Amino acid sequence: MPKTVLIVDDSATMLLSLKTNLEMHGLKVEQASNGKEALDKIKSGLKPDLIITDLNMPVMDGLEFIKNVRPILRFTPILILTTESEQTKRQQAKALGATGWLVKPVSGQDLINVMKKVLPGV
Amino acid sequence: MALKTEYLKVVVLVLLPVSLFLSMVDYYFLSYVSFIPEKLRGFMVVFSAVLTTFFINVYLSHKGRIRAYNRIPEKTEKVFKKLKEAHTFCSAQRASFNDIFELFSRNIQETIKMTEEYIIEFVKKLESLYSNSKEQTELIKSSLSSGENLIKIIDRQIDYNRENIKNLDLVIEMRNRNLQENLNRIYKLREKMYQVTPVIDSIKNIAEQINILAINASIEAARAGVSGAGFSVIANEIRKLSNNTEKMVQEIQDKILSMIEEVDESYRYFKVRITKTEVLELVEKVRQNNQEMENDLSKIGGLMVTIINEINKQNEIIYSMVVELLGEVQFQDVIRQRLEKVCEALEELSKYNSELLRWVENCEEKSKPVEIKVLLEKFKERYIMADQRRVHAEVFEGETVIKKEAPQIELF
Repeated sequence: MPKTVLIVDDSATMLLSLKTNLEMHGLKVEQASNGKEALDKIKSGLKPDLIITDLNMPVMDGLEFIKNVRPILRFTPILILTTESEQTKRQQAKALGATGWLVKPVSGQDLINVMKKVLPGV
Repeated sequence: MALKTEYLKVVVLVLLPVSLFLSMVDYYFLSYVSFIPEKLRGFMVVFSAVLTTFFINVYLSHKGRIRAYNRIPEKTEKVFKKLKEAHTFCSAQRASFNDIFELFSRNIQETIKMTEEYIIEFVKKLESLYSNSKEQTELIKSSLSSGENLIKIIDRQIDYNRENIKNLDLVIEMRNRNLQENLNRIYKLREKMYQVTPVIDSIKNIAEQINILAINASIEAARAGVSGAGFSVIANEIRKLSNNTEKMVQEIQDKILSMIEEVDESYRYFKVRITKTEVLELVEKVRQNNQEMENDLSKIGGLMVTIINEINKQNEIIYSMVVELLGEVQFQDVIRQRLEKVCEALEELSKYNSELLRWVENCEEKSKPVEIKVLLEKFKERYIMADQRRVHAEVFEGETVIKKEAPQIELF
């Protein structure tokens, strides 16, 4: 049974590149273009093994999404993949329960290495 | 400023002396007016001088009698005219300015869209490249697997052949052993036949001696005369017998020699056959062919393993490159966000420009816009990337080194 990764990003290129990369590593990928869409999927019963989310998105941003999703998925690792480099936002994300912070662009191999750390068995 | 100076010169050098002169005249006449107290006279003279100056000023300004008075309104009018022209021009350009901001913004948006489309195509092609490479590898692996099966079958056949050769070797060995035994028998027979030869020689000698004895007996019989006639007959008969014996022995000897020769020939023939035969040569040839086939198959097997390893290695390289390229395409998202910030800034600059021009058009009624520094501060606050902050610092703050940002990857 392949592990499921939910990727949340408003960029079509990011969604496609991440999807391709993760599927190449034998993972099942679900995608959403903003926090609300992702939250709706989770509320509809999606139980991902890992969430990778952007921070600056329309409708619902990454921090708001984490805030809403943490009570539902308490132990699912959440990685933030963003261009945002400000330390305060990073601290906010950490306080809300994010697992890690990756600043774009991240090399494909680095992303996989991080995933291996937070999601054993990948 | 020049007009002001000229005006002051006129006031100081012309109007004031004229006013003072007239005031002196006033004072002279005022001294004859007794009801005005003396203390007020000085004040009234100054007041009168100022008043006179004012009226003369108003009069001259109105009439345009003094050159300087004429030049001030001319210059001011010119400046105002220029300003009005500039204002009309700026007002006319205002709309164009906003259109230009819109143009830049639209161009940037189009560029973002274009890069996005290209990158999506690029990623799809990468995905296709990876799938094709994987499919090809699977196909080659499958072909190689079929080849391996074929090699296994041939390998098994070689084993059978090897087994058959071994059996043939056993058969040949048994045959050789039989041959060797036969050869040994022939050898022994030959030896025995050679052993018979001296016996025959002895018989031959005996026959010769008997013949001599028979001759001597005949001689003795002849000497005995009639009484020896019977003995002479026996002696002759013995001599005949001896001759016959000798003859027969010779024949036996010839036959034995002939047989020995044949046995020798057979012996030599079988001896050669043991060491070298067509069957042996054939078996040896089969053995060699089998060995060659085995060597070839071993080489093919090795080659196939090398091919599989090379293909796997190449596939690994393609795989790594695709993974890296999939990471690299994130630059489009980074650029998109930076350009979107530029678009936002252009839009705000456009609004600011409109506000500024509206204020210039009607500065009495409209409130003064904020300084552009405030706008720049807003831009600065909204930056999300370290590079955006760096560029801002380099352009507006003259800083080339900014504080180190947090790590690129951090696990909490």
